[in-house]
Amino acid sequence: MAVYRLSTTVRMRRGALRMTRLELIEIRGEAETEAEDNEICSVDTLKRIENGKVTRIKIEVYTKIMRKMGALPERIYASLFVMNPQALNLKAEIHIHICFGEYEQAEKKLKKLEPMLIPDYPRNQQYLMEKKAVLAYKQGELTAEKYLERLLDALRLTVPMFDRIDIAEWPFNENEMDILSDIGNAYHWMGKRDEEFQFLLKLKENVEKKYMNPAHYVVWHMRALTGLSQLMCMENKHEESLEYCRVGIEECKKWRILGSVYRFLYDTVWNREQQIREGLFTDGESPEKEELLIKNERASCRKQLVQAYFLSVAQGDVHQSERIKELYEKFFPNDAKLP
Amino acid sequence: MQKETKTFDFTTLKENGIGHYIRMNREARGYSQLDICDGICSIPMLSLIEKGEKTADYWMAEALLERMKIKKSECEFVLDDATCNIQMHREAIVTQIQGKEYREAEENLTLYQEKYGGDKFHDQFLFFQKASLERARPKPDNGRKKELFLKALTITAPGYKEIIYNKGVMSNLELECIAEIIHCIEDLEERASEYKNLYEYFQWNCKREGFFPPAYRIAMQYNAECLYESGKPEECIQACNMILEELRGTSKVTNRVPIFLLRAKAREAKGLKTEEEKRDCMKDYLTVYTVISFYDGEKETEALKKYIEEEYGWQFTD
Repeated sequence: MAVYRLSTTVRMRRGALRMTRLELIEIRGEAETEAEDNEICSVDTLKRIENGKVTRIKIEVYTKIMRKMGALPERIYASLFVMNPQALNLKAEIHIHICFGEYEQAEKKLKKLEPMLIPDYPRNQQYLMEKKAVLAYKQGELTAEKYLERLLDALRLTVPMFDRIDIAEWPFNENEMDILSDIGNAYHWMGKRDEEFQFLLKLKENVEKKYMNPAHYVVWHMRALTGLSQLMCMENKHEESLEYCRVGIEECKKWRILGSVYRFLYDTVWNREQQIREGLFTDGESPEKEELLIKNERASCRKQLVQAYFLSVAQGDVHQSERIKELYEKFFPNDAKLP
Repeated sequence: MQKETKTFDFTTLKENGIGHYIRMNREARGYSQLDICDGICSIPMLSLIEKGEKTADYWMAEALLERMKIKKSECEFVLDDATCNIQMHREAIVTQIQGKEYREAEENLTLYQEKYGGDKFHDQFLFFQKASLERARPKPDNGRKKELFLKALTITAPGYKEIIYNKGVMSNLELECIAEIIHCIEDLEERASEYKNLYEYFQWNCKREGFFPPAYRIAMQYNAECLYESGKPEECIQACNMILEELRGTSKVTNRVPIFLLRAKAREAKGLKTEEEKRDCMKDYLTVYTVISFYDGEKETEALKKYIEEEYGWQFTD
C-alpha cells in the first residue's frame, strides 16, 4: 500500500500553490479578523500539522485544507472505486498487458472493467480516461497531440490546479504518477525533446522529495531515470545517459528491482558502443593501448548485454528479451548466440 | 461475484475513509464481519469502525484489508508522521532481509521490538520478519523458522487448521506462514499431502476472489519442490511455469531464482532428449546464474558457473 506523509503532502501542496499559511487557513480572506469561523484552524496549528507534530488531525480541518488546495480530502483511497473485487484483478491484468505491448487484450479487458466502476468518482474517471487514451494512441487511433490533451484532462480531474503548479512541488499519487509518465512519453512521440527533458527533470525532482514510502519511491524514481536515460541516448548525450543508468542500476540492485534494470543495462551498452564508434575511447598514448582499451570495453559491454538478456528472461518480458537479443546480434555478430 | 450497483455517498467515504472503505470491500466480497475480523478485533468493534463511530489505527486497518486480500497496489494511505515512521522502519527491515544484510536486519528488529513490541500487530510483524530472516540465511534453522512462523500465524489465526479445512478467510501473511510451516515437515508424503490441501484452498479462494494472492507463489514453489523430490518432473515443470506466469506481474526478484533452478533440475530429471530441450534447460540455469551474480555477487555462483560450462559448454566472458 502506498503510504504518504500527511505533513509533507500538506506542506508540498501549499508550497506548490505559492500560498502562505495564512492564505491557506482563511475561509473568507479576511485576514484582519481572527474570528474562528473565518479560519480553518490557527496558523500555529497548520504549522504544527506541516511539521508532523499533530498526531490526530481533525477530519473537518484536514478536509477543508485539502479542498482549499483543490485536492481530494480522503486519508485512504482506492486506486479504483469498485463494488466487484474482480475489477481489481482486471486492472492488474490490463496493466501487465500494456507493459508487455498486448494492447488488444488490454482493450478487451478494459471494456469488461468499465461497467464495474462506480460512476462519477473522479479517480475512476481518471483511470478510464488515461487507459483509453494510452490504448487509442498505441493502436494508432489518436495523434500524439490529442493523446497529450486527454492525459492532461485526466490529470486535472484530481489536480484541477495542475496548470498553475510547479510539478516538482506537488505530491502526486500513484494514478497521477502513471499519467505523468505517459505525459513524458507523449512529449517524446511528439518529438518535443526539450519539453520532454524539462518535464522528466521535474518529475525526477518531484520523486526525489521522497514524500512516499521507499517501495513506491524506487519504482517512480526508476521511471523518471529510464525516461531520462533514453532521451539522452537519442540526443547522443552519452555521459548524461550513462549517469542516469548508473544511478538506476545501483537502486535496482539495492531494492532488488528486476523490471527496470535490463533497460538501464541496454542503454549503458548502447551508449558505450556509440562512444567507441565515435572514437571517444582514446588515451592518446599508443594505438596498441587504445586497441586494448576498446577490446576491454567491448567485452564489458557484451557481458552487460548478456546480463540484460537473462534478467529480462527472469522478468518474463518477451518483448525486451527480443530487443536485447537484436542489439546483441548487431554488436556482437561473431559471438555465441543467446539461447 | 456480481453485486447490484449501490448508490454510494462519497461525502461519508471521504470524511470517514477507513470505515466505509472496509465495509464497502467486505460487502462487495460477500464476507461476514466475523470472516474479516476474527483474531483481529471484536465484531462490535468492527461495526463501530465501519459506521465511523470509532477509528481503526493503521495497523488494524491494514490487518483487516489484508484479510480481504486487498492488493497492496490498490489503496493508498495518508498517515501522520508517527505512523509513517513505523512504516518506514518496517520497510527498512524488509529491505535488509531481502538484501541479505543479516546483521543490520537483526539490529533493526531488536530496535523495533524495543519501541513497538507488545502490540499484537507489531508482534506479528516481528515474528514474521524474524522467521523471514531465518529463512533467508544460507543454512536456516528449520525448527526456529517453524516456531517463528507459527507464532506470527497464531496471533491472528490460532485456529488456522480449521479455517483452511472449512474454507474460511485468511490473509496473505497468514497463508504464507502456513506454507512455510508445511515446508518444515520432514516427511515428503505428509508435506506433499498438506500442500495438496493448501492448493485446493487457493483454488477455492481464486474462484471467489478472481486471483491468487502472493502467498500462492511461495506455497506452489514448495509444492513444486515436493513434486520434484517425489520423482514427478513433468508436474514440477508445469507448476514452475504457472508460478512464473504469476510472477510476470511483479517487478521484484522475489522467488524467481528457486523456481528457475527447480525447473532446470526437473528438465534434467525428465531427460533432455532434443537440442531444444537442452537449450531451454541451459537458459534456465543461465537465468539463475545471472540473477544471483548480478544482485548478490559472482562469488555466490562459482559452482553453478562451472556446472553450466561443463555440462552445456556455455562460455562466460569475464
